[in-house]
Amino acid sequence: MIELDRVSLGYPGNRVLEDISLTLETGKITSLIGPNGCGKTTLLRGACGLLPLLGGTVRYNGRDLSRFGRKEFARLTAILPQTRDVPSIRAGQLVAHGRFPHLGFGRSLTQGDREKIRWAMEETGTLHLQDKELTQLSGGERQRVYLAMTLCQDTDILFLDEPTTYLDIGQKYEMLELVRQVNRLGKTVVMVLHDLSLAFSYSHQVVVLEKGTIAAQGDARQVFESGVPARVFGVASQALTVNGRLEYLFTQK
Amino acid sequence: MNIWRKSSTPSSSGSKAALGLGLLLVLLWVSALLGMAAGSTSIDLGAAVKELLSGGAESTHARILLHVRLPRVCASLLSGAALAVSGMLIQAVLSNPLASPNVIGVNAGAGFFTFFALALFPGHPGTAPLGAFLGALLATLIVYAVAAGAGAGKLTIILAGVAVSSIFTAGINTIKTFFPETLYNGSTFLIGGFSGVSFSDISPAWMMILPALAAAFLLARPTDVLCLGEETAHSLGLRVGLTRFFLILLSCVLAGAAVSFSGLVSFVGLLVPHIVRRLFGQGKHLLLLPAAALLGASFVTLCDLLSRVLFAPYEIPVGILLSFLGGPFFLFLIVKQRRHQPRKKKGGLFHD
Repeated sequence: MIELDRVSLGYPGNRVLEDISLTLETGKITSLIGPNGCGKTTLLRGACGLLPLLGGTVRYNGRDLSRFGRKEFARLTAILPQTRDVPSIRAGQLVAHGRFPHLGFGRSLTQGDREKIRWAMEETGTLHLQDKELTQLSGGERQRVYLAMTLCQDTDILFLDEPTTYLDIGQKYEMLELVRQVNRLGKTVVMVLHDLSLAFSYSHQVVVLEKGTIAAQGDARQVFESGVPARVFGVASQALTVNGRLEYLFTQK
Repeated sequence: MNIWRKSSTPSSSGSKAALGLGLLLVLLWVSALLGMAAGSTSIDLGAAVKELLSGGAESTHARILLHVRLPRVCASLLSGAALAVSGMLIQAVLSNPLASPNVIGVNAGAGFFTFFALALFPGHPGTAPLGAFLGALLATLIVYAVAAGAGAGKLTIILAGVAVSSIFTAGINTIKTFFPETLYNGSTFLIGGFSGVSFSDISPAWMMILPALAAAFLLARPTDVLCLGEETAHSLGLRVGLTRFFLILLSCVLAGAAVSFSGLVSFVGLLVPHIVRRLFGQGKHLLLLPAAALLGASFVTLCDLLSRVLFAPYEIPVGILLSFLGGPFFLFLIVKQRRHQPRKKKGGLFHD
């Protein structure tokens, strides 16, 4: 369980979030949504220690974030940042770096590490890309390779910042199916999503942010039905059953 | 040697890499042997070695070998290895293939304190190398401190480096103006070369360079991870700030120690890492760093050899030769790369 207790976050001269309290449940997929500039990414970065807290505490299973060692924390959580460099190394090499927090000083990869790397690439369908240079891959392939790296890190918690950016609609679904599959392996997933329909379809829990505060949080269905998401974005919303599946629709008011 | 074709086909499978390193090792030995054997005076290398091994150093040949060639080859090997690894590290830290040790103020700092020592203690030429080393260190620390105040981002470091370098360069010019007697020794330093180098010149430097090289090799994996970008490295559990600082420091110590006895031959630090990446692909510093050390050492030793024999008995400072040979070669690499990767998404050469 990840608890944020009266957390304030921001950048020098710009407090983005004030007094946020939030509980992210173990084994669930939680999405953070909200209009641009409301602090979704800031919240995610704060929760996983990429951004120093300006106030409040973040606890992982009751233990304060600041009491984790860097590598120890990297064995508990993996993060897929929104903007990433594209180093010109091979996909397989990148995925292998996911083992970094598990390696001692100067230790090389063991058979067990190699198996994990292979497993992560199989799960994400990237095994055939392993000898390709990252710069030669398409956006979708690159995204999957990066996800493979975070999987390979073998953590209980995954933070994904906009995992569907740069992807076309088919790839978006593919990516989120992958996220769901990863979640079924018992991993807690916390992600920022731009696409509201996808956020509600694929998350157990949704947190709606509005101008630096939490407008709603809880079970995805309930949050949707509260009408808060539609109000925050200034749109209309309705849930439809298409082919036996509940689809969340957001339209012009 | 067809090194450009390889960059498009990843070739880091273990055995190929080992073969590459093996070949570089052979190149190193060949360069060192040639460096000993050839020079303005031709000597009988076999006889001279035999004489030295039997404990004597009576003949001219043996003495040339022991007091002139051997220190000189050692100096060029050390300086080449140190500068190439230094360049490799700083390019990795700043993820900028155009970076070289002078970006973090090494050259200007070393230059200023060399001139400073020459002006202040004209009777003690031995203070100049110490000045060079400390100057390089000081300049880098200033650059880092200034950049750290602004978050120690890659770009901040480069900008701070440019600013600090220009201040120190102004300092050099001031000393030149007011102490014109420093010009002769000073310009030798600025050009760079190994003429007249002795074991006592390099002995403080190698004590820095060898441990720093070892430390750099030990940090190969963290360096790889750092190259993935700040956030990714952070989320993989790397202490980004600390690693970056330590690598910059290592880079500075290597380059500072090298220029302290060789002068500013630092073009090696830009050129060799490029060639090594072409040969071995990117991102595996466990391979890239030793390869850079080997190639850098060989390259500088061979250039120094050329500088001695090309217009013998006259000698061109190796710094000049390095730039005359390296510059066009570098341009050639750029043109080649453009031709082979015309549609690389992220700007090819200027993206790591």
